[in-house]
Amino acid sequence: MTATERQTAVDLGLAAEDHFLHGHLLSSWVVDYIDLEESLAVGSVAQEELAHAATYLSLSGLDEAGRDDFVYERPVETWHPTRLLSQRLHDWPATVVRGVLLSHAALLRAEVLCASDSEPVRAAGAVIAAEQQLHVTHWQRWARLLACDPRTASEFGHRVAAVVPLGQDMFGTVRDADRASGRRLHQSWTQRVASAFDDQQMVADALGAEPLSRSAGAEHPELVEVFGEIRGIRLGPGDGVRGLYR
Amino acid sequence: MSDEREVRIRSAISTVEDPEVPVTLVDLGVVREVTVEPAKVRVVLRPTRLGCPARGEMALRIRHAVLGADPDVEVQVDWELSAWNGEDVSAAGREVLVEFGYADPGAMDKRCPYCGSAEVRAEGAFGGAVCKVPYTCRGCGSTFDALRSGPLPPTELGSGGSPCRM
Repeated sequence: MTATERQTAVDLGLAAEDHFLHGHLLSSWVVDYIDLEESLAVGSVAQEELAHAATYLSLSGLDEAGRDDFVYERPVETWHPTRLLSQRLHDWPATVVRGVLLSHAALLRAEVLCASDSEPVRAAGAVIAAEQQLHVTHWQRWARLLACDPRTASEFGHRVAAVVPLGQDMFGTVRDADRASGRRLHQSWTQRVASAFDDQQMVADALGAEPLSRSAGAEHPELVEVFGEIRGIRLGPGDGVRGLYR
Repeated sequence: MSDEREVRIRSAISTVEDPEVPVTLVDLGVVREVTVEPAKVRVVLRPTRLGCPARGEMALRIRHAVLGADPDVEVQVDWELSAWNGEDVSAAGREVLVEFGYADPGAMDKRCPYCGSAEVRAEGAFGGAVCKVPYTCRGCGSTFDALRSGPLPPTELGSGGSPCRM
């Protein structure tokens, strides 16, 4: 594996972490829904987030067992998801803000992959970009609804102010490698994201000119708790839920 | 003898139905390529969406179909990374889908599969499965699904601009 391929694999791994965690955290809205249509929508978005994570992990060279290990066995200290996903967001407006930020990042990342030297990476980038466009549209529609309705506008504004800064590390690196690329992506993403909200300057200021570095998952107690839940499904007497179906 | 075997295998594959939609995977445009070698059969599939939960079942059905035709062969099922769209559906597949109450996936404009009216409206961008978009017909009042394909349906969802400056 060349240095570039290794870097790509690292980047795809980080992307996969974000997609997996977003899909997992969103899934709670499948049953705690505000209306049936939204339950279906969130179920589909969550499902596709998990599929995009799996696709990136496959491109990183992981087979089915490797992907399983990546999610269920790897120590939390080795995870570096964005801070947007290192804590639970407990209400719908905050979930919408996070959806806008993550879907724009996912779309941008997939578009960048369309220019990869690797044919499979290019192909995956094209398919994922097309699918993420739908997510972008979905979350932006919700952002518009919540921001424009006088009954929700104020509360939504507070959530934008609270949640957007958590995305400062979206294109932050884990190591010092390729900071310039992260900076360029951060700036493109900030422009796109800001245009989705009413107070564009506030959003741009909150995200800053430079991405922050990502920190290890173990530094976020809520994320550790989330992993406890995820892995509780797989471990324990009879190997959790899996054991029931063996 | 060898030709007969290949015909048997291809014929078995052509009967495999999608687990969700009542049409064969060949007609749906999911089966993209079949290569029959003496000891191995390779089938390339294209998912309607990457998150389609039926992918495992589709691969299993293909595997069973091939092994039913030749129990001793090695079966390799690969998924290609490529965007599926309505144009991938065969003419026969389009007919079956309309008969079962789906919008014609190959048509330029969505029409109601029950009354043929073009006065239809997408009821959001997500349906009961990742590959479906729900519609309502204003002509006869029926609800129906379209398979997701190509650009987003015209549900006024909009894609850009700041929220309240429209």
